Amino acid sequence: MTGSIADGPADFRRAAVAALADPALQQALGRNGFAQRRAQAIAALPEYPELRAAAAALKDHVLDHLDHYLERFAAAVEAAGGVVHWCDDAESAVAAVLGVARACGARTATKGKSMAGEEIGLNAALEAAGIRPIETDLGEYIIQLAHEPPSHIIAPASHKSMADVAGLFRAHHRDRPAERPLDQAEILVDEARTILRPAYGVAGLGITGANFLIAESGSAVIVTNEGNGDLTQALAPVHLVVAGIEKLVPRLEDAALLLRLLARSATGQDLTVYTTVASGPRRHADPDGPAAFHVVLIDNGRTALMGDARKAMLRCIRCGACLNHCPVYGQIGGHPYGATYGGPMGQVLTPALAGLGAARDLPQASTFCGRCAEVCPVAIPLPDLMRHWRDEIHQQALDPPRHRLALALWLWLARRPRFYRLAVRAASFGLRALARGGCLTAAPFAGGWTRGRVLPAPTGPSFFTQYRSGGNEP
Amino acid sequence: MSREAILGRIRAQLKRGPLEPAQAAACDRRLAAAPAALLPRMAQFADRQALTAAFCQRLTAGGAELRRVTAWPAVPATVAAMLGPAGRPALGLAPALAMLDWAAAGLTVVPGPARPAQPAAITKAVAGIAETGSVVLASGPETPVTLNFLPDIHVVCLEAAALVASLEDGFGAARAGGLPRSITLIGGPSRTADIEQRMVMGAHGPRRLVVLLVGDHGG
Repeated sequence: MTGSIADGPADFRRAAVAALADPALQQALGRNGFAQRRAQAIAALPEYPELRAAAAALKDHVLDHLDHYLERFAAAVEAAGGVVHWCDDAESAVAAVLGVARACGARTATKGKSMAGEEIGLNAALEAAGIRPIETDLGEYIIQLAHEPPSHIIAPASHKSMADVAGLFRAHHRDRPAERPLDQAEILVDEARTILRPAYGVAGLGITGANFLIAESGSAVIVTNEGNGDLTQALAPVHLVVAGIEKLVPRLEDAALLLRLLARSATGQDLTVYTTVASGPRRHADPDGPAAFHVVLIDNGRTALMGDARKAMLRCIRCGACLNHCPVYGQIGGHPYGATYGGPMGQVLTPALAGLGAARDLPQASTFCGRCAEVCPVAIPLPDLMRHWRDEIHQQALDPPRHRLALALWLWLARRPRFYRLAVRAASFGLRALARGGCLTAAPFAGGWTRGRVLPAPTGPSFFTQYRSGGNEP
Repeated sequence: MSREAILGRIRAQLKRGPLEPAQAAACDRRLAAAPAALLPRMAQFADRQALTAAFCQRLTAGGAELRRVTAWPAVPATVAAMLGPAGRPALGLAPALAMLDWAAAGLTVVPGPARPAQPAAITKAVAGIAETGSVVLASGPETPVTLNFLPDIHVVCLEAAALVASLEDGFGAARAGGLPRSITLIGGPSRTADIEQRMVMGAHGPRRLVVLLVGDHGG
């Protein structure tokens, strides 16, 4: 439904309205069973509150000493024979990857799932440089064929139906018989498996993300259920890891703590099928494994969050629980957010990555119900952080003139109790006059709100009037 | 240079310069030794028997097949029986297991890294984790990493004495002789739910994970 994304949200409102009216998307959103599976997994782990607090404290400790741990991480990667590329922004990160790809003469690059790769627009850049990127995670492969961005950080093709996938496979896998049956998930998975298998062996470069980076050893940890990330990094001659600087933890044991929370919060599994710790290139006597190991460390706006409460956003371990529990995401899916990261975590992260001007609608797209913060395994206060951005939007005068006018009017009134009470009385009277059967189906200045809702009309004098008539002093 | 720029931005945002020597030393101590782990009850066991039982139960719940073998010499025959006709072509083998008599069990094995047409590979795990029901595979000259992912059937031999309680213990066992280049925890056959959230086995990695638990049964 959406074209490509260059981390600059276009028109959230229009896209959201279109998403609500898209029956296929609504059907796909109804298939999301992650929340229920997460609830079962958390219920089976009585120590969850303690683990969650410990995980948040761990990430805060790392962030407060991130410079030191990054330096130690880089030294450990280099000691293991790897190379670290420090990248300020998406552009320099892409340049670093292309530099490695050219140096090793890669003509194709297999890719494990990487949100950091999405964030920097890696596929488009590789293609432009004449290097063919091949996504190996099934979901990512599907959306690569469809030329679409992911709609969910852990289930990128969750907006696609089985019939959509069959259509894409028929259109792209031209060497297969045209009339073959493709009406079962098993058949589709098997076809993708046989198509992708030869790619691992011919790719000159294998690119993965990282769920965690280990400072003590210079390792990159990835988790998958498919094993595609492992085939990608074990079979390519060069393994390149793309990761944000906030992925760091001090030791492997610290990753263990976060692993206990990650899969449970994401898919409701105790642990993913594969968890791999990769440390440097193939060693002297190793018969296989990559001959070279690169880590592309990306800032790309992350450090801009570190000066105030928004630093807590960098605790995020990308489990997707906040998306799965968000009533807004649940209605519109990931694409209307117009950015790599959708849902609550994206609403806080994207303004830092894409600029507040471009992303000004995102912190507004919340009911503030608080479920996202409740289910976050690292206790990120997401609604508070959205409020932080809202404040900044107003301070920088990035909100629409109508909003600013309404707020200024309200401020003027709120500071003048006499006028305020008068205005309340007038509004109450006016709304009652407009009501039909005690309800309002249209209200002045609130057409957008009443289009989908019915507003109950005021039923009597204001609270303040009642309070005073009860003999109370204001 | 970007390195200095990134470190500089972090320090500016945290409103400080490089860490004071005392703080840096505290971080380095944190890097040298992990604080006491916060272990959930499901990673704690009354005795060896409970630990082994939890490992077996959780591993098979993850979709793996499990066989218990009394001693190493019995491994090749058990593998042959489990593979059936699938074991007839040449199998990939971790050199760590090359001393076993595979020919006697009617199996042809090729020690070394995985080759594309091999239907199955037999490898040796350094540990098994009872908390998660996972086997722990470490790469090295005796245990090529590709054997874990390329073949359709992955047979993992695991000494019963190498079972440990927690994730931390599993990582610890894997790095006991120095950190291997790669450590992989595996909890079952490869799978995906990327199409309409329907679970399908055999996505990219092995379609079957067979674990042979060898030796003392721990009660």
